[in-house]
Amino acid sequence: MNAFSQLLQDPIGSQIIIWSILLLIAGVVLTPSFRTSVTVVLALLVAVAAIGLGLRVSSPLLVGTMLGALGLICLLPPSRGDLRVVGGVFFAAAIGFYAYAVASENTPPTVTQWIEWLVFGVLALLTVGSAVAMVTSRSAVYSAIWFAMALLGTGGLFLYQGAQFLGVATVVVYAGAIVVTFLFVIMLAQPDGHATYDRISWGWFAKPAAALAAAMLMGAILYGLEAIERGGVRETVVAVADELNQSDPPLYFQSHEIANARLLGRGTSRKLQLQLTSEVDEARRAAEDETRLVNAVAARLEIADPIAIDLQPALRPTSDPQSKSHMAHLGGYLFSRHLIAVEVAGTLLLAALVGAIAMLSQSHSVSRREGDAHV
Amino acid sequence: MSEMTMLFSYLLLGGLLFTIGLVGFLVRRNMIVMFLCAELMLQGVSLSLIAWGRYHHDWGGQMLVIFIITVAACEAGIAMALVLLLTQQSGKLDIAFWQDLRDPGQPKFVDREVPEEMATDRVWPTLPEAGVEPAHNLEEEQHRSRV
Repeated sequence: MNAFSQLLQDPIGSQIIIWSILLLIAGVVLTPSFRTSVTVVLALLVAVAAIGLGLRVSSPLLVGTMLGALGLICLLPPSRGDLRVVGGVFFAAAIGFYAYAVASENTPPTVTQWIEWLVFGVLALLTVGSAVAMVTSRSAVYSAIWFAMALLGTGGLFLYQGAQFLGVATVVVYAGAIVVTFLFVIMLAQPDGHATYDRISWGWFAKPAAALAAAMLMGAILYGLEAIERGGVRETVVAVADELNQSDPPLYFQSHEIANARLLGRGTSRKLQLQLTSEVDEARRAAEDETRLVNAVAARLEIADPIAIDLQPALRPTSDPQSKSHMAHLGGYLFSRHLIAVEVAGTLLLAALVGAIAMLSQSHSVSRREGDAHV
Repeated sequence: MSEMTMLFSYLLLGGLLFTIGLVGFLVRRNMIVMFLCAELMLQGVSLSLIAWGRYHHDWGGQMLVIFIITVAACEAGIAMALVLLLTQQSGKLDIAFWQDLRDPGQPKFVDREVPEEMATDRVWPTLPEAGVEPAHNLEEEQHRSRV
């Protein structure tokens, strides 16, 4: 009981409890045995409750996660008609919350940054939207085609990260070869293109359980991401600050907690927020010291722009073959450090090829023998 | 976009793709769609690996993705052979057909209600007609200047 009350006091723990209860209710309520109009109204009520609670605890990422899970519940078969439209609206709202969460962390962007965000946003929207359409469409053919669309989106995202080889390889290998194989198999196995089992699921239990699992997983990922964001910058700043404190004359770092609190910021309880505000006020009073400290940290890390303390030299696309981030070095890395892994992967491909042919040829001979027996 | 924000966004996106694939795998019953969902989960993992590789200025992330693509290709080949074998025996792609493989004593899963097909489910993509001679406009042809 003590542990439970501690969990309730922890801002993120209490949120997770609230959300999981809400989602379970939503999942049970949205079973397909009700009439569609009743279900639509209930879904809207649950969504309003979700948004209200989310605004109360002020965490757009968690609201987005829960709305997305609700949207998936409404979109997946066996739901149909109006409920699918409502699910689509929910999912769009979830994407909006995610975008807001990511955008609100940043300072007002310049024009170049606007363009960067626009390109990333279009690619991300294409990928996630196609993925949802793939999962929810009622025909395997459409699923395969939407999957190809999602692959084009990820290919673009790979290119955006400077992974040119992988961007092209994804499009060629996945969209060009694997998806076409899938389409061939669908053509052979399900020539009608539609079937009853595409319009139903595993009873009433599968959808809420799956959506709950997904929302929990996503919540865990978000929690981990916040920890990463806090931990990475904090460790750097603290390590350099400790070093600077020992330097002569010592640069005094107000408190590690302030740096931490600024990065934590969102998703906290009212009490903690008040505490943080007072701490930040205190920090503002010591602003002169702090500016000097940040500049000193930046100088020590040899970074020109003090704001970008977490900036590391990234793998940017370049046309200079001598540069360490040129794509040619990927081949060198692959065939020197991981040569044995490449050989093993080649063997695996051969084994898969032989295995597939062996399986199919065996079944062919079996069916022929059965045919002889009939004659 | 700072490097940290970029990493954050990519990890978020990778997580989203992974969870969407997970939900699809658990809910859908078509074997091919389930397999596509597994591939979608692999895509999510690949996205986050590439983001980490870029953030740490290391080729390891991209290299792991190369191996993921290799293994996914093997997997697709074997799985398609298996699916074809299974459909030859059952005549459909429904995974619930194979629930005879369940443990003894487990209850059989029975569909309680199967919704009938609606007219909107029967809309298929159409291609524009090709190879048809367009209608001639005689009047225009008479006015056209001869070359």
